[in-house]
Amino acid sequence: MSQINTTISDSAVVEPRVGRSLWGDAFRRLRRDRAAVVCFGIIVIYALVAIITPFALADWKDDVSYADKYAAPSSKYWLGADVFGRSVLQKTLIGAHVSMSVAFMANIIAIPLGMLLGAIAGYYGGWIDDLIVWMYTTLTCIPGIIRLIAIKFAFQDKVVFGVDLDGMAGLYIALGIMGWIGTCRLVRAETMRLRELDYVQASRACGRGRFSILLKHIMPNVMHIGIINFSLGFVGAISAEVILSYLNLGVANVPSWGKMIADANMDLISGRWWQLAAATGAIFFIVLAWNIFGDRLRDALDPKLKNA
Amino acid sequence: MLNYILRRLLHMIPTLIVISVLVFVIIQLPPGDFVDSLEAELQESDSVASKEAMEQLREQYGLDKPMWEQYFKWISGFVVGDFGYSFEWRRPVVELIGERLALTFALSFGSLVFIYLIAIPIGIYSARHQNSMGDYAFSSFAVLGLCIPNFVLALVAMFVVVFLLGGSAGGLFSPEYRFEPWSFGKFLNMLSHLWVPIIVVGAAGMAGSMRVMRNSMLNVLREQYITTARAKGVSEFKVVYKYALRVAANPFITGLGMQLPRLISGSVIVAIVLGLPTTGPMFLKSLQGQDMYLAGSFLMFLAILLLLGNLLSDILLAISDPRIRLE
Repeated sequence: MSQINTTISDSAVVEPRVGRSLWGDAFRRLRRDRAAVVCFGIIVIYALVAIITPFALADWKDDVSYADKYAAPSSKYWLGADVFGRSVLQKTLIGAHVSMSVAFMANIIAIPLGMLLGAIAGYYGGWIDDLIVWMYTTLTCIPGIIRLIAIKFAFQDKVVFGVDLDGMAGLYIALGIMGWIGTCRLVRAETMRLRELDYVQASRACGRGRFSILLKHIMPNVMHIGIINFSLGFVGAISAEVILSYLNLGVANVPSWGKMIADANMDLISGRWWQLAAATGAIFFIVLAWNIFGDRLRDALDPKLKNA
Repeated sequence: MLNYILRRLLHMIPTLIVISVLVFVIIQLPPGDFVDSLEAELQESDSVASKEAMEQLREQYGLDKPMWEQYFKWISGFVVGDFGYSFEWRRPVVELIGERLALTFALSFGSLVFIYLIAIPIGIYSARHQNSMGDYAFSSFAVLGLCIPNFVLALVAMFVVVFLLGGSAGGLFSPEYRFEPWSFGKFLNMLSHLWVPIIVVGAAGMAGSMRVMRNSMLNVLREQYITTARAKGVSEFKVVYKYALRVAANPFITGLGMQLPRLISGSVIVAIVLGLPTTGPMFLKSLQGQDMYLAGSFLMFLAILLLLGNLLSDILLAISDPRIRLE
């Protein structure tokens, strides 16, 4: 407790807070944090690559040239070539597109779902709470990646409402419906705390409906949890996508980091390290950047948590 | 306490029932059944299977029955220890999974011990020397470990062990022991192989555990009772290891419930890469081949393992922290 008091009084001395919002404060803290800025830069670069590649490399398959089979890194192939003489650099860039879009879409599904379910469980309590808690405890009884593998198998050759579950969309959904649990837990706990606060009680006494309170008073106050989890969820989703495509359960006919590693499995023994290194390096930097950025974001949005 | 444990065990039953339904539905969802995938396999090897033979096979395995009937057949056997029959291996499931589950458990548990053995001392060191060079070095190292996927680490470890150290990394036993019954020699042989996957699986959980230990220790060392103890003249060693550690280790014990699924997932993936005779590779193959009783039993046992792990962590917590004694 003394710790919290000192942080608050410290920042009060340095910068008197006059009419600044939570978001403004957080943004200021982040901008002053060099590690966070660098990591955000890395993330932006990956995101740009992910957006541009599909247009820039739309015809990548035509590049097959058996003459360049296993070409070592050179000025023609900056990162070498694979067994079909395809540029490893191009494959890595397309892999960035796959990973980033899968992680983004999975979180777009998972985070709002988790927030909504968490807030409903925490605010309404009773049997609704029991049901939601019971739902995620049951789901978590099967370890994450094993659950994902089973779901991906179940999605094979399935088309639901015109959505091909075997392709990218299937990955979005499989990861999305698996990723909401962490957010739901945190939001639920926070909502249970908020529910008892005076301003919520006052709003209730004024006759505001429960769902309206949920949207107007609870949701904005758990938003930061959603944002923090969005960035941390990225790491999980990227790793999961890599594992799935390594096991050949990812997207078919498109290069991805996991598949590159699977391809390069045997290359390492014959000294052809470049494909494995390219994919691993690509994974490494984005995961590193999201990990650090997520942590800094949490510190910025929720300074109380800093040493907890 | 006994009352609490019994109640928790009873609570598991409805959860397990729902999981069993879920598991069965998920396994049945992929198109076709085992006979279909067998047929496809036969066609690939240019042998022709007659329609009648296939129908007969389906009937023999009970695959022509409606889904709920198959479910009840499986689950009613499951509770009395008959886990069904593996179509692919033509052997009862119970013979196939016993040893593999035990090895998965050994691998996960070994990684857990490995993580704690390394992470706790480092966490304590980092907390006591906050912001020192050592503290920074350890946390940077931990973050690096966090950013390389488990299975890439497994690949690299395999490469290092096989080509640089001249050992063997595939499997858990040397060839001469592979099909031997269990003996002390085989056990030692397993231990000599197990350390590679243990390190690989453990590496991923290390960073988080180190950080948890460090932060929790930092918080406890700021408490007033620690200051009091120091003022009384209690030795620093006793302050840290007797007074502080006992409270600081609590998040570790609660974290056990979170750690276990991660370890099991990790060990499954690493086992697939390294070709270990644990649940991982066989589970993947059983899903591919629609070997539903085998896949279902694996999922059920992993779920049971996890539930028991959670219970264990709750019991440990109640023992270590008298404040949490449950009514």
